Amino acid sequence: MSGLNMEPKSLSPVLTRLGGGSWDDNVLAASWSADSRALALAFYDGRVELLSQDSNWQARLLATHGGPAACLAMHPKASLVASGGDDGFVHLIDWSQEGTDILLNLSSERLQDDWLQDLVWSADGKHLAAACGSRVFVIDTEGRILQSWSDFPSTVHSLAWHPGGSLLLVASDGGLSQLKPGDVDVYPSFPTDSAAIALSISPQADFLVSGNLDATMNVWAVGDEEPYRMQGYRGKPRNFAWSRYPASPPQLAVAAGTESIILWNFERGAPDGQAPQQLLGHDGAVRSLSFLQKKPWLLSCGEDGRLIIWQETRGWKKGTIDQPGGAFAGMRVSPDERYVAAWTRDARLYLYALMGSR
Amino acid sequence: METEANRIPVTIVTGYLGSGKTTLLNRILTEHHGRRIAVIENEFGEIGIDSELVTNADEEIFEMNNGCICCTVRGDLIRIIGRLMQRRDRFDAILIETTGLADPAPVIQTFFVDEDIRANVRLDAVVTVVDSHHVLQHWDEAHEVQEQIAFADVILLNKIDLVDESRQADLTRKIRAINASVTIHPTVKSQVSVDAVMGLGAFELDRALAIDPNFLTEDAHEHDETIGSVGFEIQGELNGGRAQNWLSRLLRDQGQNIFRMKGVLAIEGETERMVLQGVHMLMNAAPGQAWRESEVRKSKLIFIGRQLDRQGLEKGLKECLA
Repeated sequence: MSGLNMEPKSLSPVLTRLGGGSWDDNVLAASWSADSRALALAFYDGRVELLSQDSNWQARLLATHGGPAACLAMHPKASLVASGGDDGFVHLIDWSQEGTDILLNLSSERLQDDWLQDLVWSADGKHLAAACGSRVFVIDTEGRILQSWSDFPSTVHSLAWHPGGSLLLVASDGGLSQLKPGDVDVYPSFPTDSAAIALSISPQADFLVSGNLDATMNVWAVGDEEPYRMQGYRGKPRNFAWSRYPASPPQLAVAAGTESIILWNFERGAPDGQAPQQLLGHDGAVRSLSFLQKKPWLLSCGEDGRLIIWQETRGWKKGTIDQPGGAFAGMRVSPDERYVAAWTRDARLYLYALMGSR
Repeated sequence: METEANRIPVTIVTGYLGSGKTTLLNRILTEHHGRRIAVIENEFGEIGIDSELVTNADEEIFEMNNGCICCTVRGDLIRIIGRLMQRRDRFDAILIETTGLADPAPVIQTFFVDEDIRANVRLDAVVTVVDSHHVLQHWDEAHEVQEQIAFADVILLNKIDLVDESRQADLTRKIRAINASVTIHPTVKSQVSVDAVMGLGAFELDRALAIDPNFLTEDAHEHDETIGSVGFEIQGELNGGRAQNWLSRLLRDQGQNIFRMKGVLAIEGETERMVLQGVHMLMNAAPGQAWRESEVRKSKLIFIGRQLDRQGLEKGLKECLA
C-alpha cells in the first residue's frame, strides 16, 4: 500500500514538511477536497488514488483509466471527485463510499476526441465542465450529460467557470469562447493571434486572461473588446494565480516555463504600459503558483526542486525554501490553506503544513 | 533547457499511403538495438504497432502568426510530447509516424518553433518511405508525394522487388531531382538497419557541413520539376551583413516555397564556418568548424523547394561576396 511516510520536519516557523512518499508512476494532477481532509491524485499509469487525513495519508485506489489519468476535479461541496483520462472516460466517484463510481465515455469515433484535457466544477457544484478533445460537455452530479458543444477549432486546452456559474469560458485555437449552458451557440468573444492554451478569470471577474502558444498573454478588461497583449515571455504563459489576500493590491502572478515569476499589478486596472515585477529565486522553470487568502503570501515550486514561500512586506521577499530533492512538477494548496501537496517528476509527493499547523 | 545529449531524439517517418511506414516502424521496434522507443501514431493502420508506448494523434494545425503557413505547428504533437516527457526516463527515442497525406512542414516546424519541445527533444531526421511500385501513379496528382521526398533526410525506396532495375534507376533520378542531398536506401519490406534511419543528427547544424558538392552542380536537378533542389558552391568570403540581409529577405519573400535549406558560409573576418539549417521561413544559424589557415574559403548552400529560381538565388548569393 502506497502513501506518505510521515516524518514531520520543521523548516521554519511557517512551514513544516509533514512527510513524503514514492509511487510507481508520476502524478499528473491533484485536487483537494472542500474540507481539506482528502487529496485525490491522478497518475500517468491511469490510477486515481485518494489520500486522506483519516487514513494518516495512506493511499486508496478509487479508479483506473485505460491510459494516463490526466485531470481531476474535487467537488466544491460533496465527497465527489471527477477524473478524466486519455482513454476518453470520466469517472465520477463518491469517495466516501466504497465502489460508487459512475463511468462516462466521452470519446467518439473520431480519434482526436479521445482524451480528457480539463475538468472543472462550477462554484455551486451543480455542473461539471469537461473538455474532451475538441468538444466540451456539461455534466451533472449524477453523471448525466446535460449539453455538449463540438464546434471548437482545436483541442480545448482549458476551461473556467465564471464565478457566477452561468458562463463557461473555453480556451482553444483562436482564442477564448464563451458558452452558456442552455444555449447551443459558441460565442468566439475573445480572439487571440495563436492558440489559447490557458485561461484565468480574476476573483472579481473583471479581467480575463489567456496564455497563448506564441508565448504571449492577452488580458481583457470586462467591457473592453480590445485586449492588452503582454509579450516578451521566453515560454508559454500557462500558470496563473490571482492575489486573494484582502489587503493586498490585485496582482496576477504568471509562470511561463522559465525560472522567473512575473507579477502584474492590476490596482489601477489593466497594467497598460507598466513594467511587471519579477520574482527571482528559482533556478529552474516555475511549474506552479498559488496565492494565499489568509496571508500575503505567494507559493511557488519549480523544476529546481524548490518550494518557495514569498512574503509581501513592503515588496515581495523570498521566505522559506524547501528543496527535498527531485524536480517539482506541480503543487496544490488545500482550501483551508493548512496543507500544501507538491509532486515531483520522479513520482514522489510531499505534504507540507503551513503556518505551523499539523 | 536540457543539454543536447539529454534531449530525446525524434525521428519523423513520412510516406504516401501504403508505402510501408508501419512495416518500418514494426521492424525498428522489434529489432534488438537496445533503444527504448516511444511511438506517436497519426492514424490507425491495418497493421498494429508493436510497442508499449504508443500514443495516437491527429493532425491539429495551429497557426502561430496570422495564418502564415511557415508558422504553423502541430498542436497535437506539442500536447503528446509534453505528456510523454512526464515519463522520459522510460524511453530513449521517439518515432512519429505521420499520415500518408500529412504535410511534413508543420511537423518539422514544431521542433523549430515551440520552446517546450525544443527544451526536451531534438529532431533527428525525416525518413520518407517511397513505394517503388506505385509511387509514379501518385507523382503528379498528389503533391504530398513530392513534398514528403523534398523534406526527407533519408528515403527508403521500398518494394524494389516489385520493379525492375531501370524503373529503380528512373525513380532514383526523379527523387534526386527533387532532393539532391537525400540518402537513398533501396529496401524490400522496409528492411533496413536501424542505424540507417535513427541517430543521424540530420538537423544538427554540423550536418550542414556534409553537403556533397557533387549534388550542387547544374546537372543535378531538372528544370521541369515543380519541386526540386538547387545548390551552389562559391569561392571567396561573403560580407556578413549582406549575407544576413539577403537570407532574411529571401526567407521572408520566398520562404513558403523553400522547404529545406542547408548551408555553410565563409563570412569575411570570421575564423569559423557559419552553418545554417532552415525549414520554410525558420532558420537556425551558428558558428561551426574553424577554417584552417591554408584552406580555401568557400560557401555551400542547398535549397529544396518549389519553383526555385536558380539564377536569382545565384545572383543574390554572388552579390553577398565581400
